[in-house]
Amino acid sequence: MIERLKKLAPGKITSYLILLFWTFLTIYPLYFTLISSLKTQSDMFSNIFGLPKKIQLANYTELFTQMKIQTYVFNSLFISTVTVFIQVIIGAMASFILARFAFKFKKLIIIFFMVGILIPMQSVMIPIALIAKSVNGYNSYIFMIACYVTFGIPYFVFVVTGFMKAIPKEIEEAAIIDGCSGGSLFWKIIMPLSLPALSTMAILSFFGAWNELILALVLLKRTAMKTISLGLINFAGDQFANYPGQCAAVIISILPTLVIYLLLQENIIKGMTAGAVKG
Amino acid sequence: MRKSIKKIVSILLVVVMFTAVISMFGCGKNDPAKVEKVTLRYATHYSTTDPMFAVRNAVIEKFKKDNPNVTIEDENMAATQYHDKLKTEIASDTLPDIFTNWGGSEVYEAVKAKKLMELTEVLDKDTAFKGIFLDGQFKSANLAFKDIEGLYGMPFNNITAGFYYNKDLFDKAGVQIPKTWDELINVVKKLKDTGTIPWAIGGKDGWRVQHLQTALAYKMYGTKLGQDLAERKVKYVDTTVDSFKRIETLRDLGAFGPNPASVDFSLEQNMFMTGKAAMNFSLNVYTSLFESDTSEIKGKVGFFPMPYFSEKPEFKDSVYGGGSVVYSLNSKLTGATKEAAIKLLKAFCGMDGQKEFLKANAIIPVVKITDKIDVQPLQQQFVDQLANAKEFAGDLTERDTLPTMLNKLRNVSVGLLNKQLTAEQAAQEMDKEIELNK
Amino acid sequence: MLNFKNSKKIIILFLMPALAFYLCLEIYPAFRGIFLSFYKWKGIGGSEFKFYGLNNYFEVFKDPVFLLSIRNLMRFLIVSLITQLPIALLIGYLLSLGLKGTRFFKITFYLPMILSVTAISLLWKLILAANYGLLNSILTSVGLEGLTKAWLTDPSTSFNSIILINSWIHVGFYMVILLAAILGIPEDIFEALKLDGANGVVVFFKIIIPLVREMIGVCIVLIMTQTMKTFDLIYVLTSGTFGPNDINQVPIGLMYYKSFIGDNFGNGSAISTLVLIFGVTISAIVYMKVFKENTSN
Repeated sequence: MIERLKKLAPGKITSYLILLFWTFLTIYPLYFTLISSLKTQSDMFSNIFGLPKKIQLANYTELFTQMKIQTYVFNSLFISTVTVFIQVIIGAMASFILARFAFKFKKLIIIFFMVGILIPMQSVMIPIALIAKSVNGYNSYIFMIACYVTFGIPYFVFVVTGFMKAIPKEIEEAAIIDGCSGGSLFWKIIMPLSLPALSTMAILSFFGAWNELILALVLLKRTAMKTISLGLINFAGDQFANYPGQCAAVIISILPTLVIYLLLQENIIKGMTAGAVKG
Repeated sequence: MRKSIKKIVSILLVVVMFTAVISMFGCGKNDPAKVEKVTLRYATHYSTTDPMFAVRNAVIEKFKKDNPNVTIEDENMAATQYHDKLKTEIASDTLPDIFTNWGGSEVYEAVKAKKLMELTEVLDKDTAFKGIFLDGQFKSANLAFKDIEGLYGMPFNNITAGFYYNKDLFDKAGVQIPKTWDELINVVKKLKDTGTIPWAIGGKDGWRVQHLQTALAYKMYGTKLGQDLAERKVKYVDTTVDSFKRIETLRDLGAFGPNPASVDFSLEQNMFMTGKAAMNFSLNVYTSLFESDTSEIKGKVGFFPMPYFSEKPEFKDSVYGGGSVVYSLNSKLTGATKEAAIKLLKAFCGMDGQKEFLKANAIIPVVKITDKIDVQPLQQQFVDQLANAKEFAGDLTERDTLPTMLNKLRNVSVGLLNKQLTAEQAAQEMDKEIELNK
Repeated sequence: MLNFKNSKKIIILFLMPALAFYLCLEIYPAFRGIFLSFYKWKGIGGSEFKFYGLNNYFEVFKDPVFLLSIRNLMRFLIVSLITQLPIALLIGYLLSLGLKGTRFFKITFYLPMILSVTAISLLWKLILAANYGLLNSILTSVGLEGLTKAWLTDPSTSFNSIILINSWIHVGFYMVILLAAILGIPEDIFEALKLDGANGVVVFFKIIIPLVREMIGVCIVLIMTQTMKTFDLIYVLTSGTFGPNDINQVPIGLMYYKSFIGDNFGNGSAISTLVLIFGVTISAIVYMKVFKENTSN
């Protein structure tokens, strides 16, 4: 595909060696965690590199029966999916307006949204905690989801507005002639056509909420409400010496994102780097 | 984008909706039909290997059976994390309904802001309950707050610390129980020569080192030191450098093994229980763990008190110990929830609960138990140490009003153990913390 | 541009939800945070809340732990730059050559970016554990027992370990950005070189690097903001202590500790504000250009 470079390439073998070395560095820790999660404690300590002597699912069953890890997985799943839903809908609505309508202060509003990309979420933790206190936002999924939705909106609007602008105008013009109203134009034409961008952003916002820690740490105090990240930390603190158990917990907590990533790799990579590459 | 992606996303969306709906059901616990149903958030600080943990669970189970209308939302985590939890819950004003804590500086601000329920009324309403407590138990230093009257935590246990030692390893090294500091140093050296780790300490958990520091400080200056420091009559640099220096000495002798700061509390106990380490300076709470069937040193464990300094014989019997864990209630509780929380509190601090914990050799009770309950001889030695002490006190910072002092003391103790700070620097950092928060 | 009879209504109705969220939970908190940094206050029940001028800032800058956190951040930034950029550039370049398996490599290298930092940190914590950790076991098994260490608590290695783990996570991200930039270099430049018979090393240093200079600049800024925001990684690797004794402290960690654990929300807000100003300023460098393009049409 890139004929132009081939002749100038460094030695193929050197290239592959470097690439394979980095592949090893990337994959081995994950592989190590996976095989360790299938060992018993003593098997792991006596046979740290090798495959498990006998595949042990006890580490996993213990997580479910004793640590009730499914509660945390469930909580995270709930928070992340609701976040995605709300963000996609209200984000797409705003993007639609910014991409397709002309009005006063439009430029200002776009810039206003863009500023949000610059604000590090960690730096507003204290005021968020303060707001949480006054609106009963501690131990409340509603408040937490509202925060996740908000923190994702600027980048979402930035990417999706750009995408919507590129949708050919002919389709909607035809629809308008057919008597389509603004609302149905959005739902029936724009939303389906924007699906590629929306689904990428949906996945990113799912990842964001699934992996988030500091806000959950500040807002969620009740154990029964904790997310998988918090559950993982509790578990590690409690079972410091239980290495295989911790490995199993790591595997469970990365599984959903891993599966989604393996299904949709290229789109996710594109979505995550879009902003930077454009610059 | 490919068609398949569209499909995948739509499948995902369906899954999402489904889980969302299911989760909603999971969250709905307000059943209007049964008004008297009460939910209590109950938070404690035990590691799962802690002998107290099993008893606590049994007490909770019994409580649930006796009070079917009460749902307990059980929140437990290991002590180091629990300290952080406690402080963040105070900061966010989301304290659990009923929770363990250690009184003292850590909760001073919360008490001042009236976030903890005042419990005198609970005692006065139930004089039988009030009458069972040991004399002076309510005057324990961790329950006395500067300028604030009242009782904000119900005593749950007394603790004291001393040395557990492995008799076999001591015999092997040909050493006797040390009485003075110099003898202790000698024991450490001889144990080290035999190739065992002389002393297991979990320096990753700050409280492990800080207990040692405080115990040493009391042997040098007596327990009044805590009060003097809290009232800012003396400075840390003038009084505590020596206690830090002793830890330095031990560290440099290799008493704690190669990387004590990477060892956490559970590993510390593991090292001692598997015979890898010969001594463990720890709380009375763990006797039954060391004497349990999972312990490889069962039956070989002995006790000796913290050695004294021959140049300070007057503080020979100044002991680290006293009132420790207390149960507090959230001041927001009212009505049925409050009643249920008080009931639960009594289940732990009352006679029945205390007996259960004592039977398990897990606590030094806060109540007068007249029944004959057999206590392990090992535990009894701790009990006697506290009973015979000339004076005793808990953490060095317990009378302080600055909430960060306990944490700071733990941090600098670890820093010292990890060779990041010298003894002087450790003490200076304590004074600096006071200076910074003036 | 679209135009309906009820355009105005649509615009307001559609824009409102996003704007409302954004105003209430991002813009307002950002300003509120700045405002709070001028007050002395404690977390509980507003037991004390009084104007404090710039004193929070003075206190923060007098605090040795804050100064340490700044030094750590500087080190974090520098080591991140010198590890992530060269590796990302080299791998990006190799992936631009159109070798077999390029797609596989790209997807693999990017993988750590999408996994939860909490899980990744826990994973590395197990690898670097002093007792029975993977790394120490490897060293022992190849006879380098003398090199074994308590990687995450030994003051000489702990922060560097954290930085390198962070680099391990993020290299893939910069690799993708730089790969795109390399693939964007105009064809004719390579044609000319082909005739000259230049080799790969020369191309890499003389052509690629100068031509993707601008994108390297973008990466530098992105690395700056990323390092500045790091919290989860250190929180998990140090078991929530940022220690032993604060040795691995960074500004965001100190902000969390001071406010939510130390009850000093005034000082915490001052640190937040510094992070906010610093963060907005440096990322504006990258995004300004993008925004200009976005708003121009």
